[in-house]
Amino acid sequence: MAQSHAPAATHEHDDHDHKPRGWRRWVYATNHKDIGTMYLVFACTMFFIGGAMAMVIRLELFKPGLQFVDPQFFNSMTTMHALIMIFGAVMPAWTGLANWMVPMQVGAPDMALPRLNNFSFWILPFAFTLLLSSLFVPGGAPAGGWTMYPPLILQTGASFPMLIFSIHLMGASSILGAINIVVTILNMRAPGLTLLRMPLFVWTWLITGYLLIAVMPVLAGAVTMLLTDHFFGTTFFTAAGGGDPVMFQHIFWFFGHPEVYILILPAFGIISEVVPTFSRKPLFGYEAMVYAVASIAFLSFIVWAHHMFTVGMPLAAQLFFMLSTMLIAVPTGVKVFNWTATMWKGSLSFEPPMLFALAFLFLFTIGGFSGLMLAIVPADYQYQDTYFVVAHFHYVLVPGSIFAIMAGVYYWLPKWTGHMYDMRLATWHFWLSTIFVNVLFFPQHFLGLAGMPRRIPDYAVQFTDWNMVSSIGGFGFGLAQFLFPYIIWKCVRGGARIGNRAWEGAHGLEWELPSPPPYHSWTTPPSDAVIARGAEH
Amino acid sequence: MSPEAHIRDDAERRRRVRRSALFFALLAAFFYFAFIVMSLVRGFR
Repeated sequence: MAQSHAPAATHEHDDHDHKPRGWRRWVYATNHKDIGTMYLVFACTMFFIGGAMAMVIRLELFKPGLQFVDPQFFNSMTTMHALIMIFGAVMPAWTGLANWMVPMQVGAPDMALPRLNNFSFWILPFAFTLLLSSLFVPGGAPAGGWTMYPPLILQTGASFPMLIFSIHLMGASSILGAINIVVTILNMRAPGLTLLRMPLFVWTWLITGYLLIAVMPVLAGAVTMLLTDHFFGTTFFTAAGGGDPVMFQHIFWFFGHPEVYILILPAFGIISEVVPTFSRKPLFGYEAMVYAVASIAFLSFIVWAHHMFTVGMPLAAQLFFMLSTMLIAVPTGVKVFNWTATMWKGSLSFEPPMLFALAFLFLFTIGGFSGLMLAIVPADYQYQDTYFVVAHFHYVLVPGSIFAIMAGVYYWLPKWTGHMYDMRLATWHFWLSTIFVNVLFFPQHFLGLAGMPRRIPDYAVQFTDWNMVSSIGGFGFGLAQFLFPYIIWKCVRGGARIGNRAWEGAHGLEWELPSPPPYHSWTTPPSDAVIARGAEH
Repeated sequence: MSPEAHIRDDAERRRRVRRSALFFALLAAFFYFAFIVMSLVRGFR
């Protein structure tokens, strides 16, 4: 199953570029680019399905009172929107980008375990079909929030086992995908490509892979216990039987906080690729960036209880979790400083990937700062479960993770297709997204500080104005996103041909391959000279 | 590198891939069962 670096001469036959045709190419896919494409198409589809649910939420919240949906359905929308965006859109998008780029960036012909790669992708459509079909069962889709806190989640109707099974499937897919990526990075690097010569995107994915392997099974364990509590009479989290519902929260957030970094670390990798390219300078402080990512990953394991300060815990624990959370600002600050220092005195140009990267820098930092505010225990007592929290994590995930995904796609799309995309439309996509994302989420800080609770379909009239502004931002942001698949589709169909190196300042092994790259990326390992040229970080 | 050396290198790489994939799969399984067992132990105390 493992792919080989052996030269073509040692094979019985040379099947490079002999793609399977028709549906077999996709269903039986073992090629990293084909599987990467399927992940990205799947993520984009889920992004629009989850986005449609966000539109329902913003439509209902446009005015106070109940207008369009009943409260149960509203809660289903918030729950499903979160699950779909996290597990269906952002995580598969990162895995798709890793599938496309990691073998090319490490000088490998393909992923280490191509058939496992096929399996981990094809689990996903089944998982999400199951989850989405829960909208149509008696009692409706799960509505207890994506955090699935008992005892509330145990009251879910017929959709409960569907939720649990789909979470298990998503978890299995993520773990298998992560194992494949980690094994590829550790074993398939071209000779001479040492760990500290790897591109930052590969480094961030290596660390993300470790996080996934460590924490996705913890989520699986937690939901297994929920399942047995619901159907088999156990009382892990049921107080009446001697169980402890708060224990679920500890276990969930032991998974949940590293999960936040699973969603953002590959974004750091993309930004570390894009900023040097469009600054025409090497990345400032490459090794510091690697250590900063590793530190953030380590710290992510010891901060989980900052999500549950108001649950009640000893003062010493509150202090520990507050201070360890604040400590994350140090390596994050190192990264923001280094990206800025990379741009300092650089020969900057502002193509769409760089625009998205710059917006990421400003807006992710806003999300980081509001995170610091939430880390302060007495302040968190005020902010907990308000729209301030909603504003915070959406700033981290939308102009953070999703903008970085867009930066990555706009950066590598010419490499994937061999064509340059419509820059004018992509620039429009950037400006509309950036303006509307702020109109959508910035007012939610005000709403939260004024005391508007999250996860409610109706609200007091004093919150009306900012909710209207936020909803208008939401509709604008949602509409602007239709440009994204259109630009990609247009680029796949044709456009100005580009050479190996789509961007003047781009470095890395992927830019040494033709555009589009051959079906199997590096059938012979790149030479030392090519690696040295590519490793000019 | 001679073709024989490539084949040797390739076989060694396959072994390393299998070993590391198995190691990470066992690590994931350990985390899954460890958290369930930990919860059970806590419940019996």
